[in-house]
Amino acid sequence: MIRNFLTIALRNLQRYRNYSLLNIAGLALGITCGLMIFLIVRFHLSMDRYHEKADRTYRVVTDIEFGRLVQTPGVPYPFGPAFRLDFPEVETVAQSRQQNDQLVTVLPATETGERKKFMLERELGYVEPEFFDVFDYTWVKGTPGVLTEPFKAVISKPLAQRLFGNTDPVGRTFMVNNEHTYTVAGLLGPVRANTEARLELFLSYASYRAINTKESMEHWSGVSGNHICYVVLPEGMKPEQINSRLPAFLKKHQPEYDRWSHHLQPLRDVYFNTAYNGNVPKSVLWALAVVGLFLIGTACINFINLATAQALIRSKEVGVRKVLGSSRGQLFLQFLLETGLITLFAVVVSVLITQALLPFMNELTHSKISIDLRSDWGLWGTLAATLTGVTLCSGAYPGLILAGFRPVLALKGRINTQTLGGYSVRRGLVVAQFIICQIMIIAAIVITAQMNYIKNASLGFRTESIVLLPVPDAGKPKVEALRQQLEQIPGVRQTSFAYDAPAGHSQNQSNCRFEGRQEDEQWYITTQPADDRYLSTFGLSLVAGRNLLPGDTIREFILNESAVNKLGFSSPEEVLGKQFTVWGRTGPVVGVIKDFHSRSFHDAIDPVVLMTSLESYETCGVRIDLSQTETVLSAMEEKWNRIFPDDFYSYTFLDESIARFYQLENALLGLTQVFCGIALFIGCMGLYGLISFMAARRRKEIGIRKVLGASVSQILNLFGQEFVRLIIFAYFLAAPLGWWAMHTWLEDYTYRISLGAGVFATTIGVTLLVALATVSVQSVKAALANPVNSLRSE
Amino acid sequence: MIKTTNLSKVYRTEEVETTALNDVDLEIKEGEFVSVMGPSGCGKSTLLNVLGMIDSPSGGTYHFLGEEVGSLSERKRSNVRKHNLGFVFQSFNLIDELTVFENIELPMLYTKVPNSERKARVEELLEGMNIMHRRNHFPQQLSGGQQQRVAVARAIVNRPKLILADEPTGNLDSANGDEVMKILSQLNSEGTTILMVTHSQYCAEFGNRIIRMLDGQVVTENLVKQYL
Repeated sequence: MIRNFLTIALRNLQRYRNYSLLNIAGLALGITCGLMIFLIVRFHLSMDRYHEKADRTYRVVTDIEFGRLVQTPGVPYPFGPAFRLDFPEVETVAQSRQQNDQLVTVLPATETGERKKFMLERELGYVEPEFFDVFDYTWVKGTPGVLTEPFKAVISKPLAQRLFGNTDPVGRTFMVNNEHTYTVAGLLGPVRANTEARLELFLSYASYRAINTKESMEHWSGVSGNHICYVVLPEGMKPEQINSRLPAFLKKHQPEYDRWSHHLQPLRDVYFNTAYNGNVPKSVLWALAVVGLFLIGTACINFINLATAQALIRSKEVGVRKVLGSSRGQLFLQFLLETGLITLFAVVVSVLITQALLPFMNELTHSKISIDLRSDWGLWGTLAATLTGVTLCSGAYPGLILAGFRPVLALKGRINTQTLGGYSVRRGLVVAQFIICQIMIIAAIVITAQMNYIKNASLGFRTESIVLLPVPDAGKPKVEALRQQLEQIPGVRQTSFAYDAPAGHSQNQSNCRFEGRQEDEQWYITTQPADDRYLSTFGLSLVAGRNLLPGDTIREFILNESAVNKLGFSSPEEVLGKQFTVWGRTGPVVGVIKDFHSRSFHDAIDPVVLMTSLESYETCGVRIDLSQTETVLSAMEEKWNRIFPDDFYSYTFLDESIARFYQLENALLGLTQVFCGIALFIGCMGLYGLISFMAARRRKEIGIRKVLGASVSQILNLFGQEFVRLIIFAYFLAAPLGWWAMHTWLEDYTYRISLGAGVFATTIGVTLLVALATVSVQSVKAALANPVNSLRSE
Repeated sequence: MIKTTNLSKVYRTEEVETTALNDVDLEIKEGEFVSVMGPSGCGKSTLLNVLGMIDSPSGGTYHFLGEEVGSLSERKRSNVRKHNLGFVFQSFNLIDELTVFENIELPMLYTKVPNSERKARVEELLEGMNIMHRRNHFPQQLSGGQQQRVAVARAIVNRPKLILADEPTGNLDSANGDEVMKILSQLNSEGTTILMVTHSQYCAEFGNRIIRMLDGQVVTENLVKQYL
C-alpha cells in the first residue's frame, strides 16, 4: 500500500511540476531559514554548557552604586585568595585575567632563527591552575600543575601551530609585549567554539603576581572587568548560601566600600547578561526563534493553500479509491505521506542550502557554527522533528479535506471551489501569512531607520578620515618622535595622542572632587588623558574657556557639559578657573567642551574630563586626507615600524571602530532584512500559486464575462479585489503588533527614532505593490486569453 | 442478494428538496443480470449508488446478503463494498497516475491480498481481457475500449459477488460496447450478479430482467424475451 502511495505521489510531483516546484521551493526556503536560526540559537545557547560542572559554576560579579549602578563582571585582585580562605566549603575558586590586544613575540628555537610577532586580540590570559578544574579542556601534554610556576604557559594546538609552526611547542619561549619571557609547558587540544572565554594561550597567574607589585595585588579599591573569579559550588549547595554571607565578607575586607556588593552569577547566565558584558541577550535569541517559527509557519500556510486549491484535481482519484474500499484514514494517510515526501525533498534542499550559506551566516552573526551530519544527532533530531512537524502542519488540513470528499460528487466531478470547503480557512491563512510578512517589514524598516540614524547622527566629534594607531606601553618616550615622523607624511593632516578616541571600547572611570567640597562627588567621571591636539583632531568644540596647554603630566582639566551639570552648575563659565581633583591630582578647569557620545546610543552621555598625561596615552589618532589613503597607510606603517621595531603594527578607522558598538544590531539588521525578504517572497509564491489556480478554474467564467463585454481591467479587478481586501485586513492586525514590538525594541536606546506614520504607510505600500505585481502576472494572462479557446474547451 | 423496501433518497439544499428515489421496492437474486432503464434524472444512477453503498439512503431499508446495510457507518459500508462489490463506470474512472497493472491491482491493496497473488490475478485478467501488452501503459495511452476493459478487470479482480455498472458502454463505439457487454455476460454466466444502468435497449437485453424507472420509482419490471 505504502509503495502504491509513494508511486502515485512521485508521479503527481512529476506531472504537476510547477506546483511541486512551488511547494518544495516555498517549504525549502522556510525550512532553510528555520534551520539557520536553529543553528544560531543552538550555538549561542550551548555557550559553555559542555563543561561537566557548568551547572555548579558561578562567576563573582561586582555592583557599585555610585550615582548610577555600575555593574562589572570583575572582582578586586585580592578577592580570590580571601574568598578561598573564608569559604573553604566552596569546591573550587579560580581567578583569571584576560588581556586584550597583546603583542606576542615568538623567540627562535635556534640562534639563527628569526623572531616572529603576533597580535593576540582576545586569546591571551593569566589563569590559576584551578581554572582547569572549573572548565573542561583536553590536555595533550602537561597538566594544570605546570601553571603554578611564574612565566609558564599552556597553549592550544591551533594557536601553537600559528605561533610555532609544526614544531613541538612545549619548551618553546615567547615574550609578551616585549617585557617578559614565558615558556610553553603544556599543550591543549583545540578549544571549542562555543565557549565565552576564548582563551587559547594561558599564562600562569603566578606570572601576573610577579609582574605587578605586591601592593597593587592586595588593593581592594580597584576592579577591572577583565579580572574574573569563578567558583564551583559543591553538589547541593545553593548560590544564595554564599550570596547571603558576601556582605559580611565585604565588610571584613572592604569596610570603606559600603556602596559595593558582590554576588554569584550562574555560568549559564554569563554569555547572555549584557549588564555584565554579556554578548547576546537571550531575548534576541528567542525573538530569532520566533522569526524562524514564523517563517516555517508561513511556508506551511503556503503549502496548505496550494494543496487545498490543488485538491480539486485529485477529486476523481479520491472518489475511485473510496469506491474501491479505501477508508478516510487510508486516504488521509496517503495525502499525509505525499506531504511528507515533498517536505523530505524540502528538508534535503534546506540542508544543502544551509551548508552552502553557513560561512556567510557565520560572518553575519559573528558565530563559529559548523555542521557535521555524521555525528550531530541533535541536528538529525531537529530535522526529523521539522519533517514530522511540517508534514503534519501542512498535510493534515488538505488531507482531511481530500479524505472527506463524497465519492458520488467526486466521481461526477461535481466538487468545485464552492463545494471544496475551507474557503474561509484559506482566506484566514492568507491573512495570517500577510500579518507575518507585514510585521517583518515593519521590523526591517524600523531597524534600518534606527541604524541609519545611528550612522548619520552626529556623535559630537569627527569620526571620518581618522585612523587610530596603537602606542606601545614601552613607547611613551618616543611619542614625540612618532608625531614628527607621521606629520611629515603628505596626506597626514593632524595627529593627537590620547588614551583612546572620544568613543572608545575601553573606558576608565574615576572619583572626582570639585573645589571647596569636602567629599568626592557621588558619581564617577570618565577620564580621557589626551594631548592639546585632541580637540582639533577629533573636532570637539569648546563652549567656554580654552584648550589644554601642551604638557606630559596632569596640570589642568577640560570638562564636558554633562560633567558641569553633574557638578550642579548651569553655565559652563561657572566652573572655569575652579580647582578639580581626579586621580589624586588637582588643577584648574580651563575649558568646557560640548557634550559628545562616548559610548553607544544605548547609553546616556557620560561626564568626561580631559587632561594631559603622557604615560596614559595608548592611541594615536591621525587625521588623514582620504584621497591619499593607500599611500598614507603604507607610509604610516613604515614610520611606525621604524620607531617601534619590536612591536606589532595595526590600524583601525575610527568610524569602523564605532560601528563595532552596533555589531549585534548590524547582525540583527542583516538577518531581519534577509528573513523579511524571504517571508515576503514565500508569501508571494503562495499568492502566485493561488492566483494561477484561480485563473485556471475560472477560465470559463472569464471567457463568458469577456464575451458579454467585460474589459481587461474589469477582469483584473476580479482577482485583485479579493487579495487587496485580505492584505488590508492583515495590515490592520499587523500594524499594532509591529508597533508594539518595535516600540519595545527602541526603548532600549536612549537616543532613537520615533515611530512615525511613514513606517506604516511604507509597509502597506510595499506589501500591496509586491502582492499586486505577483497577482498581475497570472491575472493579466487570464484576462488577455482569447475567450473562444476557453469556451470551446468547456 | 439485494432486497430494498420503501427505499428513498432525498437531496436537500437550503431552498430545494429533490426526491431522487421514492419508495423503491426491489429484489435481486444471486446470479441475476438486471438492467435498469429510464430517462435522464429518473434516479437510475442514484439507485446504483445507494445499492453500491457509495451513497446512503434517506429512508427505507436495504438488505444486502441478508444484512441491513442502509444504516451502516461509512467505515462498515466501505468494508462491505470492498469485499463484495465491483464498479464499472461510463467514464471508466481509472486513476491517470497509475499504470494499467497498478489500476487493476488497486482494489486488492485495500483487501490486503498478498503480493504474489495480486500479481497472478492481475496477469490472469490482463491475459483474459487481451490487454497484457498494455500492462505498463497509463490510461491516457489506451483507447476507450481498452480503458473500459481495464475498468472491468479492476471491478472483478477481487471476485465480487455483485457488479454495478453505470452505463458501461456510454462512452464507447458499438464494437467496443459489444466487447464489454460480452465480458459482462460471460461474468454473469460464471455466476456473478450484475446490476447495470443503461440507456440502450440493446445493451439492456444482454441481461435477464429489465427494470424501468420514472421519477424515482420503479414503474415496470420485465423479463428479457429469451427468459420469458
